[in-house]
Amino acid sequence: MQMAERALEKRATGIPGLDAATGGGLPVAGAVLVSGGSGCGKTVLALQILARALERGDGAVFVSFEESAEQVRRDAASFQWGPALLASGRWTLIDGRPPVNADVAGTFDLEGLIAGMGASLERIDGSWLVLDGIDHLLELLPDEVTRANQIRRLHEWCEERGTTLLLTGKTDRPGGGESMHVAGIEYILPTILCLSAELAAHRLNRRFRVAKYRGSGHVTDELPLVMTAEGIQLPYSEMPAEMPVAASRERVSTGVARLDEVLGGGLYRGATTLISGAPGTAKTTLAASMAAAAAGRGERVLYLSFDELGDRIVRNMESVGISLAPLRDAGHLFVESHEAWSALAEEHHVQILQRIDAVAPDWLIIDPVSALLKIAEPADAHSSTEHLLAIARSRGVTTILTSLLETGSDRLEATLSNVSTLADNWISLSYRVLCGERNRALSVVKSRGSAHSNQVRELLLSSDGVDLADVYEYGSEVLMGTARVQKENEEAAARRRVQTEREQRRRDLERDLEQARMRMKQAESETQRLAEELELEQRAAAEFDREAHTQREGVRRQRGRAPRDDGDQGGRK
Amino acid sequence: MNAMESCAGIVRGRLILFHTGNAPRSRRARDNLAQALERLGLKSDVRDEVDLIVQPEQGVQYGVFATPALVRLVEGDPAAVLYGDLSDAPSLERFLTDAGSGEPYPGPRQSAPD
Repeated sequence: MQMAERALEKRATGIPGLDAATGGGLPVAGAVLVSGGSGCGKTVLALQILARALERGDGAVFVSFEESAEQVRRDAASFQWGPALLASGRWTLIDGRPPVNADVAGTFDLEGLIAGMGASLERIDGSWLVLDGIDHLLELLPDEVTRANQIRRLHEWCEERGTTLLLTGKTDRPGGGESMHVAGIEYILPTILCLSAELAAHRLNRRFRVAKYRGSGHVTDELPLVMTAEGIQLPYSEMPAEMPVAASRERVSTGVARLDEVLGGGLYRGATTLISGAPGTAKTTLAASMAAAAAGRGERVLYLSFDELGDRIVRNMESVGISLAPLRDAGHLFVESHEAWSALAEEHHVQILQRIDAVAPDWLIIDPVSALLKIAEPADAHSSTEHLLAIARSRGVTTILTSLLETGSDRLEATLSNVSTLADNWISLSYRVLCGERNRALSVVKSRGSAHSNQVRELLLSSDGVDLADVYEYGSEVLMGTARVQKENEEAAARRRVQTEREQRRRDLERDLEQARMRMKQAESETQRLAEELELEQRAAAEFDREAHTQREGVRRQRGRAPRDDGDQGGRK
Repeated sequence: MNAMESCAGIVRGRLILFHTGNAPRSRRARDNLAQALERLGLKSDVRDEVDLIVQPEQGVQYGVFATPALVRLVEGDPAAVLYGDLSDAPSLERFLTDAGSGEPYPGPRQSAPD
């Protein structure tokens, strides 16, 4: 037999997180037990699966053994998919509640149920069957063996006819304690989904777990379950559907030129940056500066604040020269505020994903993400962050997470450590106390793929915005504040002194050069004069020599013509 | 005398035995019901049987999913249901002789949007 033939055929539930956790959905044939205590979402899960199935053209039968049909309708109507489900003619809703005064006189079975369901499914060509609150039926059966046999019979019947059967049942009793009616059938069925709900810090935490899924790979972790108007979601199990965008080589400015230099030219587009720091270290200001720069370039920025109202952020940033209002009004910047305490971390997570879908931002800023991490269990905080960043990366969204550092919170510190591992860049903001002053300091702890400076720099806030000061080292320290200003003044004075000296020296040399040139000019002039004088003298001498020669020749000729009286040579008397 | 009223020798209301054909439990239920009525000297003027294998939609309409099931309908009274093959004679006899009380009979309970 081929492997493909043996593979379990599945039917998608239409709930992305559930389909992801179950590796594609539920078996196309057979029973699935959905067990859990009261109020953990069993009925809603079943209704939502049917609603999605009907959207795809499937048919379904829903039998309620606990709630009235009207109550089930009200349940469905409270969700976005409810009206379409209620209006559909492809499902049948049956009130299967046993009469209150039902009694038992001997053994019985569920053959009547099978016959009735078979007829109902055929009538609507249904492939889904839900028996909601099966524990109410099972409690009529006399013992565990009988219950197990009847559930097995139902399961095999569904396997034979290719129907996906969802059996929902409570695992607790109304008055407290565990109900064994459902627990007794758990070992019979190959697929079991467990839902739970418990109060933690006065808030209902719902959880989901695939307890058993024979023949199929599945997520074994307990996952947060969120119930909103959209229905049930398993936010951390759903992975990005779209293909991730390629790693960008484009650098985008942070809006702080010197920070861009420190980062080797800015942030890579689509990168994740963690900005951590103690209260008041200007995390929000730096994040807002980045938001303003991006929005100013026409990019879409979603700024989610979890500790300050959006209007206040806009107002406060004006004091440091960051004008967000025009960018918001222009539709480039979306500043939204949420109260971290108002919902569970997973509910915030779902809300963030919804906003990302709605805004389709180029930049996502969560300020501070630590407010969310703080209200989540460590494992959930890890899953939430990892999932959120995976979504952002897959869409090429440049993400900024600010994080408040609190001393003495080991749990938060561990969580932030995890976030910093996931982030591409980590900018640490802190206070440095030097010479009686406290100044803001910035250092880049890491920046993947970038040659970056590791020096601590002073972060400057002024009415002109955010800037970084130059580094002035003093021994092993970097000077900041007044000490830096003093050092800057000293260095400026020294530079001016050097400049003055250089200027003076330049002038001296130029003067000497000029004098030399003048001397050279004079020398050249004298040379010329002497040369000319020499030439004149030479000419005069030559003329004189010629004249003398001519004269001598004349004399000689004259003497040659006169008669000699004594044979003596001329000239001598 | 009105057959729908409780009186000596007549079962109060309408009895319907839901079963699944000739399955052993169904046969036993029919036999046990007949024997109980005879033993108690009761008559039922309105007694029906519904074979859910043949008429499966009847089970849906009456909200009967466990079989065999003996249902007694009395106008103005809640439907009384006795599940099982009726082999528990005392329970069956109590059921047949009970005057009944509780919530009104809801009637067929199928609820389809269409």
